Amino acid sequence: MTAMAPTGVSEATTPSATSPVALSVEGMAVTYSGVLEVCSDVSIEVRRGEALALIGESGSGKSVTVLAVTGLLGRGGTIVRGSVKLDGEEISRLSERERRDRKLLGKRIGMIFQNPSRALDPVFTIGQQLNEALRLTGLTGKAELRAKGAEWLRHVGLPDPEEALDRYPHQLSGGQRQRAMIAIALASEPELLIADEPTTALDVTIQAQVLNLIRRLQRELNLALVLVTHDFGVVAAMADRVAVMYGGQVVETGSVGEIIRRPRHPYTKALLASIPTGEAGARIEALSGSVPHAAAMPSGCRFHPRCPSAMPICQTKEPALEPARGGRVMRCLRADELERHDG
Amino acid sequence: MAEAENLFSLRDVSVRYPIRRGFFQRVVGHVGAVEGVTFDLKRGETLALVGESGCGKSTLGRAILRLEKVADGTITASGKRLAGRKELARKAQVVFQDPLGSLDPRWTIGNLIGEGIDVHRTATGAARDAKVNDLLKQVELPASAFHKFPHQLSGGQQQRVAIARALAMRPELIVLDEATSALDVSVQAQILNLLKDLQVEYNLTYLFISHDLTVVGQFADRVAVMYLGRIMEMGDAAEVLAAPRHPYTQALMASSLKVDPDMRIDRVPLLTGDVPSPRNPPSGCRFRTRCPKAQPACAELRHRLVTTANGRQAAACVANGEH
Ligand SMILES: Nc1ncnc2c1ncn2[C@@H]1O[C@H](COP(=O)(O)OP(=O)(O)OP(=O)(O)O)[C@@H](O)[C@H]1O
Ligand SMILES: Nc1ncnc2c1ncn2[C@@H]1O[C@H](COP(=O)(O)OP(=O)(O)OP(=O)(O)O)[C@@H](O)[C@H]1O
Ligand code: SF4
Ligand code: SF4
Ligand SMILES: [Mg+2]
Ligand SMILES: [Mg+2]
Repeated sequence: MTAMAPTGVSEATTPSATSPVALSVEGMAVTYSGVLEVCSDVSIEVRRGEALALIGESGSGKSVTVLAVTGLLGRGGTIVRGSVKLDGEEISRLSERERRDRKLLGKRIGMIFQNPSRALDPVFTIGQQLNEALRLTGLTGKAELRAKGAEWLRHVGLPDPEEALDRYPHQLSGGQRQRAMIAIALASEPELLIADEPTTALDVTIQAQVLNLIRRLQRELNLALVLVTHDFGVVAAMADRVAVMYGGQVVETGSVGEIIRRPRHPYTKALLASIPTGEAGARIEALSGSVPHAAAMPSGCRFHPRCPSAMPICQTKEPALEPARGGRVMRCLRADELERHDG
Repeated sequence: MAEAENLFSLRDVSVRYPIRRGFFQRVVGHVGAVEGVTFDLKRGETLALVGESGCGKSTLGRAILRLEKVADGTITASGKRLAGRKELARKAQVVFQDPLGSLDPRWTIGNLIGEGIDVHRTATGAARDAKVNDLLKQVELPASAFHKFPHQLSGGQQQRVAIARALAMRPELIVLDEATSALDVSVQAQILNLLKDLQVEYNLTYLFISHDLTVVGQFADRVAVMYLGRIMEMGDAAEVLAAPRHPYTQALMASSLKVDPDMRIDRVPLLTGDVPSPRNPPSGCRFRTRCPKAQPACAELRHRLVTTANGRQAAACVANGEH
């Protein structure tokens, strides 16, 4: 039996607006090879103890956004505009070498990838990979590292943690590998945890366990969490606040209750409407078309070819992400007008 | 309503894969991927298969498609045994999760869709191209797609091509193996609506393999819940999902996240215990290593389905008073 007994019903405590901002991204744009602008205007903010979900269709720029924050954009990828601040310190202009020397990723930012094989090194045991993370906290000594490593594996609910330390990644099941990766990402005690679709490949039963674990550890360690997903079920279960992305831009942000119960941006509304309700035989209100590619971004509002509320002006004028009525923030030329319609 | 005709009937169907070891790849045992499955697939219905990864959903689909040998039991089609794979190709087709993986990247869309027509010589020349264009229209793709290649289409469009390919054979059954799982909710909705329209138009039968219970509730008429090769519960989809009887179905339902901000993760009940190896399944009730209601007697239970009202079936369960 694993140590994952049902946790009691604890109130969803929203971290106070006064806790310090851990990550702040403002007006960030990312290009590949200097020409392809895959993110154009991304602004997000996460406080300590808070969970922010990034949601949007495939290709909307969610992964690029978090990769830019971690400095893992890869070949040809550059932040060309805007700022990325970790605890108030600008990190977007640091070279790869400076990031490595200062152990930004690993020590201060923990990252959980969608695919564990991307993060786990097949030639080292789980224990060896945990040790590397643990040393970043200043821990030394073979026995100490081993004890702490096993403790982390127990924490993430891996059966037989002592034995699992000596296993190679391929000797674990998919769900167990995911847990091992979470343990490694957390073992260095980062202040910011980024999880890119951490449970998309898992069964619902294991997904619930892994998400519960991430949330529990986030609370215990008072981490700022950025969770990338395309699943509104995951958003509802995990997020305090939500940023909706479309075509490389953030188009609406709000609390989880606001976004799911009272979406205001036409894209957020259409996306939510296309989720099956489970009502037998009912037709789904499908949002037609698909996300435009960075090389062929529509003029004006990027959503206008698919937007049921589009007006001629939407084809030419670019909306900005700005405060709208009712304390909401969104990118839509007709935001206030449409809200009056909704009543 | 008159009882619909049985398109396929499965009786005590088991499928086993050999486990091979060592240099000579000697068979050292078998995985019972599907065990003792019995049901009828009725013409025009959508039957969903749900359950966790590795429970045997795809294997069961492949067995119906004759892509996997049945070790025990029988699968008959409309009352008679089918001669072979080719005869069956006319009757049953499949659409997989990953459209790009199942479409040859060097072929144009026109040739991909026309392949079945070409192989079975149901039409040639202009008549063949007209048929392909017709299929493009049916899956709501522009005629301009004819000369394009798979990589030039979006994921949703690629999946439409895969559906058109299946339709080209005028099949009676389409096995949809996680056919919408990799798509965005928006595109999934488009494809599900398309599949519904096609079903009505051609009286198609679907075997809908999925892990999304909400989609199943909306899309399927009946559902079969599988665990480690066995059917644990089966019946009208709306009824089973509204009031699951077997503890495994209940656990699956409880773990599924709802789009409801009041359903925070700390309120979702979690399964504990180890997921057993399919090579070495637990004795008695196979769910007992994870079942929150497990008791000693569960290790002795013999697997059988108990039928209740409206043809609903659930595996005998100690907690439900069935020993
Ligand atoms: N290495 C790269 N080189 C060039 N373009 C890229 C690269 N990585 C991503 N892109 C492009 O950037 C855009 C955004 O991609 P991104 O991976 O961020 O999407 P996403 O929102 O994470 O989608 P998904 O839900 O499919 O993971 C896409 O158009 C993608 O093709
Ligand atoms: N070709 C094969 N050789 C040996 N074992 C196999 C083979 N294909 C599947 N299996 C095993 O048979 C069992 C059932 O597999 P199957 O692919 O049918 O599951 P599934 O329910 O479709 O899972 P998923 O949701 O992951 O697709 C699993 O234990 C799997 O490991
Ligand atoms: S700006 Fe126009 S096209 Fe864009 S979301 Fe608003 S109404 Fe729709
Ligand atoms: S038979 Fe026992 S272990 Fe199986 S589902 Fe019922 S209570 Fe649980
Ligand atoms: Mg991504
Ligand atoms: Mg499968």
